[in-house]
Amino acid sequence: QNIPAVGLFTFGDSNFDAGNKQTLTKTLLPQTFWPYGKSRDDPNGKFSDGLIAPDFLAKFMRIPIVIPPALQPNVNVSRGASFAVADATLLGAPVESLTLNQQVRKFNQMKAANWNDDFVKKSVFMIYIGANDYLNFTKNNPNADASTQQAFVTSVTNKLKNDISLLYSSGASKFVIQTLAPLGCLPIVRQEFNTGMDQCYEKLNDLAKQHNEKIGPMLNELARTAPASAPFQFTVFDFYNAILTRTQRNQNFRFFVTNASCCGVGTHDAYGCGFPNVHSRLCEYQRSYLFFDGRHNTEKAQEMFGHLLFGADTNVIQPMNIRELVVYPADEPMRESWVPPTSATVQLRESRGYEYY
Amino acid sequence: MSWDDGSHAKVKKVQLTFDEIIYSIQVTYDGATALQSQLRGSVGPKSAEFTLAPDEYITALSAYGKSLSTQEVITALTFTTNKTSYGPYGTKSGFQISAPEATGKQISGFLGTSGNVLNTIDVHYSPIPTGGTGTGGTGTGTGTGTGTGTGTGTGTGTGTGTGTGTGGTGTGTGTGTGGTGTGTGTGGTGTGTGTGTGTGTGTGTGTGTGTGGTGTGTGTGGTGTGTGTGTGTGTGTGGTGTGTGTGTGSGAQKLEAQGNSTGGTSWDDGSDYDGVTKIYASYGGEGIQYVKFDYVKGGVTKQGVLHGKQQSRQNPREFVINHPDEYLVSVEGWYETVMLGIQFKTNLNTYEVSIYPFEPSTDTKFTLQVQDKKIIGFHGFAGNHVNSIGAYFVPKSSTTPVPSTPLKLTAEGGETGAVWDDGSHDDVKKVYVGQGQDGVAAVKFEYKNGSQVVFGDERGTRTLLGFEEFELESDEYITSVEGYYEKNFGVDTVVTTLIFKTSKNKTAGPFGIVSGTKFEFKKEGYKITGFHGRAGEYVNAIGAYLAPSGTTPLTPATQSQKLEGAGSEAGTLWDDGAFDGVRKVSVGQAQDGIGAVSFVYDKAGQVVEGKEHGKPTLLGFEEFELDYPSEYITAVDGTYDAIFGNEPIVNMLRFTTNKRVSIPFGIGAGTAFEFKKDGQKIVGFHGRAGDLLHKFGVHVAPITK
Repeated sequence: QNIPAVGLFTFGDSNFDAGNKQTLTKTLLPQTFWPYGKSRDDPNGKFSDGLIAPDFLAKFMRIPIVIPPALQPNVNVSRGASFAVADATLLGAPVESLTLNQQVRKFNQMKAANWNDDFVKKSVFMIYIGANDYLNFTKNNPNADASTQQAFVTSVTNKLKNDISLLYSSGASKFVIQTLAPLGCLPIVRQEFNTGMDQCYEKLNDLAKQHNEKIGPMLNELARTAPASAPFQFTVFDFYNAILTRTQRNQNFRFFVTNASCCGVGTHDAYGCGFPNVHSRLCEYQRSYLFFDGRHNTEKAQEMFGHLLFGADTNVIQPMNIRELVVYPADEPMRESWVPPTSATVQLRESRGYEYY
Repeated sequence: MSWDDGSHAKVKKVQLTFDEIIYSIQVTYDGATALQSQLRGSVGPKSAEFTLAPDEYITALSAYGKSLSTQEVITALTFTTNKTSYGPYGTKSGFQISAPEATGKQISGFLGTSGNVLNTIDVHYSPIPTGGTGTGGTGTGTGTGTGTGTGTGTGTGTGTGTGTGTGGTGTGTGTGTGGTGTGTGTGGTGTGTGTGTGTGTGTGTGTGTGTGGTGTGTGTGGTGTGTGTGTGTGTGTGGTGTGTGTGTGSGAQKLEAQGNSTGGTSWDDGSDYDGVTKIYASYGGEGIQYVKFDYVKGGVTKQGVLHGKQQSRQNPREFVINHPDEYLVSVEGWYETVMLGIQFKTNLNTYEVSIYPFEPSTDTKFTLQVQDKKIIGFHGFAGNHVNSIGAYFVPKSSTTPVPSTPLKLTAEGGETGAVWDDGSHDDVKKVYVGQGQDGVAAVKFEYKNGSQVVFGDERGTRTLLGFEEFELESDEYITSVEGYYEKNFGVDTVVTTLIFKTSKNKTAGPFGIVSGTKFEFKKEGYKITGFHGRAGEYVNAIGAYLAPSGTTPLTPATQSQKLEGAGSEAGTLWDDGAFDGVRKVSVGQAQDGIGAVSFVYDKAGQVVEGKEHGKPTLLGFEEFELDYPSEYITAVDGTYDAIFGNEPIVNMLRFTTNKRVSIPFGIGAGTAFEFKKDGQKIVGFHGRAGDLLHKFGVHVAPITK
């Protein structure tokens, strides 16, 4: 299918953590224990019952090896690596984790020994970060007013922009930024804020929305200001709506439970999966759940995201999907930009025209 | 003609010109002072000369001569001394005139006749001072040398040393001849070493070289067995003095570059600056890619060189430092292999380029700072990235701003219209604001520079509404300018309102209708000294220059005084302003009165040529020059008159100084006037003029010593 032999680099928090967290702590981590990895019978530090979205994406990109956790020694990073670490944030100094900035630094420290400039330029850099910043903020400032929220969102997105441009100036050209999930709908949030089975915690959803609104314009600007000799290419995966749609129209996606977790205890079975001394309930058929634990998706859902990332239309991922991003010449500036998704634009952009393979 | 040199102590030197005959002779005699005779004869084709030693005397002269049809000529001369003989000069022909050889006698003078050539020659004899060979006096020369040494600070810059050395001692050796001894002393050579003290850790060593003074030695002549006591005069050339280099430690203190210098090459911007005005830096994922600094030296900005490497993927940053009020006091940084973050701290702000925050486990942190000093230069190592950085420090106080450069505040408003810039002056004198339909249509400013008035151009396009004016008093200045600008429908962004506030708490304006975005130009301790901006059909943007309000001392209102002029109100106003004094007056006459005047003034030792006022005629100018500064004008009187019903014109001017009275320039008639104020002198002129001088007045100021 003419997919160039490029790499996949992931940055961010637990969603993309391929097992890095364990290298930063001596504490035994629940994600390395059953029932994590349930579907493949392989608890390996990934927050899922099996593979995570980047694993599927790598497979679709014809990368023949598993994307390894970069922080683990003696791993094959020839086709990319995961720098994401559970509990990662943009702001502050997370305990036993890395900020995105520190992940970028780690990448730069490893770059010279492992990847040449051309490879870095053609590879995909996927980032999902910010959820922990907003979860912590909401916990610490439960009564923050609108302007405080706004100010916080601005400082988070400014930091994100700074770190993305740092990756860009480190040689990366192709960026995939995933918007934040509707954080208020995560089972753990519903459970902790006692929203009941039908409601989401809207305050967090609002923060996520405010954050997500800034992502596209921010990347448009980075693409516009980059010199033509070193283009900045990107696409934005509308993760927020991918989760929301599955929550609201679960039957269409063959999910039977979307408001509670497969593994854990509590009103939404959202806490304690994999912990010792916690009597977690474990669902017998995880493929009918959207969430495996309190905030991470099942392998079944992750596989869907992999498909959406790689091949979906612009109403899901725009201005292009990863299949298109990978084959887009790295030395050409993008000709399309991200457009705010109104119902009108979604309809207008439905036709993709003909493609020849 | 005949000539006679007379008899002297001895002959010192003989100069001759000749070919086949002797053309000329010129003799230098020794004595208390050396005497040289005139050239006897005229210069011939060949020349020769000989000088006698102090103890050598001409004892005999042998000459040949012959008679030509027109004149007698000397064909050859041979001089015999007690030691040797000189000559023959010329060609021996004709007959020999043998001068008798008188034992114990010397030839102490010559006489003869000459025209174009030497015709005859004879000699005076006098005794040889046999016993008079005295021991030469001992000349003592004392020279004082002043040297200027340049010290090189070891490690820490350059020190300049100024030294004063004591010249050597001249020793004169006089050889007394007869009663008079002549001494020549050569001064010793002094050598000194200046020590420059560099500021900070460095010690500069200055080596000064000075030129010694001239020593004068006086020798006492030896006692002659013959006649009298000889007195030797020694002339000692003072030694080469030596500079004691008291090194003024102007050298800057150099702090070593911090960082990991491997992989980079050394760079050094030097330390010959007053301060840093701008910092440029860029970073990538691996570290700081480059730094660049703009410096200022004597008010002139010097762009630095980029250290590191510009790359296509970069994040450039620029920080402006408001020299001289803002200055760099420290630099903090951290690095692993290359620089990962730098913080530039000034007395007011911190400017940071941080890629990755300091990570104690892997990074090294450093600080470049010296108590009570500021940074005026940088050095370090750089390659593809900035590897290390060091700085030059000088004491903060040493930077007491030389004429401090005015601050230029960015213009506020729109981006359209042509850029205009009046520059910065001493003060603003007068403000004109013209309104238009949608905002401020035009502005115009008058400035003061010393005593000169500078008229700014009209900026924008004046409408029928004309100008509103606002004039400042002589000891008043503008402290702030506020205003508003707004994007108007259908037109560009224009300034809508301007409000001026002065040091006397006066507010002028608002000129215009308040609407839009507010801006303000103000800085504590500063005054507004100029304007710039953008203008087209309207004033689109305006910015200001600020200077410390203390820098240009405002002329107190009492110092100089303007006396109302005499004459008529015809013509246009002119005013040279007040100066320190008047150097020259030029008055040009016309048919019916004074046509033009111009003056040359003095301001702080500078000659200031005033403009010509009126219209000069073919009659030109008459001038009256003063012996400035001792002479000054104390009074001016004159007359003006109306001729044939025209506007009155000044027809006579007369200037009285503390020493004299000038001629009346022009013919006095009509109304007389006089400008005079006790204890005051005239330091400037003003009046009105068209084709003729219609009115004349003066500025006076107290007479100071």
